[in-house]
Amino acid sequence: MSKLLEIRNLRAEVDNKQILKGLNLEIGAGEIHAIMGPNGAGKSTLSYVLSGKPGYTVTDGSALFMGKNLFDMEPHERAAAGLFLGFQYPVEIAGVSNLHFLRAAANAQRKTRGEDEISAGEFIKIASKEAKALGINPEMLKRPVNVGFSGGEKKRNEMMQMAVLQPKLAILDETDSGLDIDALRIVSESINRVMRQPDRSVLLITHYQRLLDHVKPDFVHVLAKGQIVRSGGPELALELEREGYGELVA
Amino acid sequence: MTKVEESRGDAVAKPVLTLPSPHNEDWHWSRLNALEALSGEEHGQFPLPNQSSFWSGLTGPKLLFVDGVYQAEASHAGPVKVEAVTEKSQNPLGKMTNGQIGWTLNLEETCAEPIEILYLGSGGAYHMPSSIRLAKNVSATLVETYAGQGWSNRFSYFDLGENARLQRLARLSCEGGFTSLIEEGSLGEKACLITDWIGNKGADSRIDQRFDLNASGAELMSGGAFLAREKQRHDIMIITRHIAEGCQSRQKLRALADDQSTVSLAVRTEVASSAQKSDGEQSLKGLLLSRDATVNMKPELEIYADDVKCAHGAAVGELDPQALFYLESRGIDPEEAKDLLIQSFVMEAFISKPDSLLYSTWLHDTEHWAGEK
Repeated sequence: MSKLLEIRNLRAEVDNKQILKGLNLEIGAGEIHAIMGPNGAGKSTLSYVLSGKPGYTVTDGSALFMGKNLFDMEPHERAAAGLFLGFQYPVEIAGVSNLHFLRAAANAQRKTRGEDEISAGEFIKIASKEAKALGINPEMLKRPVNVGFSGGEKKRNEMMQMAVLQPKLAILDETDSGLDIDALRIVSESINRVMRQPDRSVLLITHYQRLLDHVKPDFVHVLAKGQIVRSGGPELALELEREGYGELVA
Repeated sequence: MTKVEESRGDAVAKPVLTLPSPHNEDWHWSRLNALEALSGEEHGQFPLPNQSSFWSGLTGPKLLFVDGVYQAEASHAGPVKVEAVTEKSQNPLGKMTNGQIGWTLNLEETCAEPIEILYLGSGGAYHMPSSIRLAKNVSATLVETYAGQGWSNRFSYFDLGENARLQRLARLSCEGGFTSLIEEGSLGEKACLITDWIGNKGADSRIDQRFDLNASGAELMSGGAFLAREKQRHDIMIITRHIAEGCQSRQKLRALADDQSTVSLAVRTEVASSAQKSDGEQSLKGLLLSRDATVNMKPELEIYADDVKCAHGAAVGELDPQALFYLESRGIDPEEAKDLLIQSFVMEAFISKPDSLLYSTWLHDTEHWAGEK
């Protein structure tokens, strides 16, 4: 299977503090990988480094995304290339409607890829369809981005963005946090529906098995002290749930 | 004191202005000394901008003034009359409009279509008063646009009857020169005056809005976004006095300063001991796009009643890097992301209902500013 993402010996720091310390990870097309690990292990840092957040400095190593050096690209170019980050804490943007923002994002990606812009009418149809699938009130599309949304609504909105933007690789940082049981099911269905495709992949960052009950991972990794310290199949998550990280982080 | 005199004995009579300076005005930062030069200029120094881009395309009343002179052939005045205005201002700049020909609007019935007034300037100065009276239960929408060059000095008097409602948008879109708006008046019981200002071009500006809320339940809502670059200055002062019971006032002002520009917002709300159940809110925010730009803010509350709800807030900052990254992570390039955040910041100050004309005009003006970099 072709590799969508290949990370080699990745070292990265924030505020001069080394967080990732030689991380290796390969994600093939059509695969779902879960990363688990204790607090402070570097899970969110990994997601920010891959998506290009300012302040996160790569000091060594490489990351190839569909054969291209990810670190040669600006954040918006990474997104246009097909990388999507589902934020743990989605940002509120007052004064810009969800629909306006989503269309701006979709068209910006198309522009970067040299494609024609999508018309307002066509876009509304797509967005409304995805909103319906996620149980999002169409009125929410008119509201400012994430402003006044509950935690669950924000996460559903992230999934809405993912569904509209149709990325190749979705890095979902604790998408399950703050979700009630029904919302977790809806969000999981969305991940499966949008991303369970032969040419798409998911990197799920989570603390809990419950998300993995709905989105079955092909691989589970344990990230501790800035490195992948163990990898396995879905059974690894069950083992971690049962026994904790124990010696893995000692 | 301000006075306009004619120099006697010169071949060309030039006005001599005596204007207040920062030494005898509280919390004003505008450079009134520049007005002396503008006042002495002849009209016609600059070509007039194309007026067509400033009209909405709606069929309501439209009035065009060029350098303060009414252009009847290009207007459809409807209920608006061009005539002398009886109301007088005591404001130093407002006084200069006293006795001048201006326009009046007396509405006994609701005007469904927005009334649009366009003031074009070709340089030089003009001083024009206006008076707006809405009878009981009457509603109207007014859009005033200032474009071109020179000094536009305007005094507006508002008299809204019981339960009357006026929504207005004032667009400060002059490329250069100075725009001064002096706004005063009287609101009847449960009358509502909503004003949204937007300053999106190169002229310096000063706005002085002063109202006493003397009738119970009156509402004064004032929103504004002032976008400045280079060495431009916007200088806004709003003074609202709650006198009667149960009145509301809101001031939502946004200052956006780039380069070496300065935007100053001073808002003062006084609540008299008779004004129980008053509801006041001051929300002032500034966004600095350059380390050399300045935003001055002075939210001020003076409350003598004990059963009131009054809030004030002031904050100045830079573009939120988290929000910028969020937008970029969705594929939006850094410049467009910045523009979207500017729009987000500005749109917060829009108070009128998202009525199609006012909202879309405001949005257009914001985008125009961002696109002019």
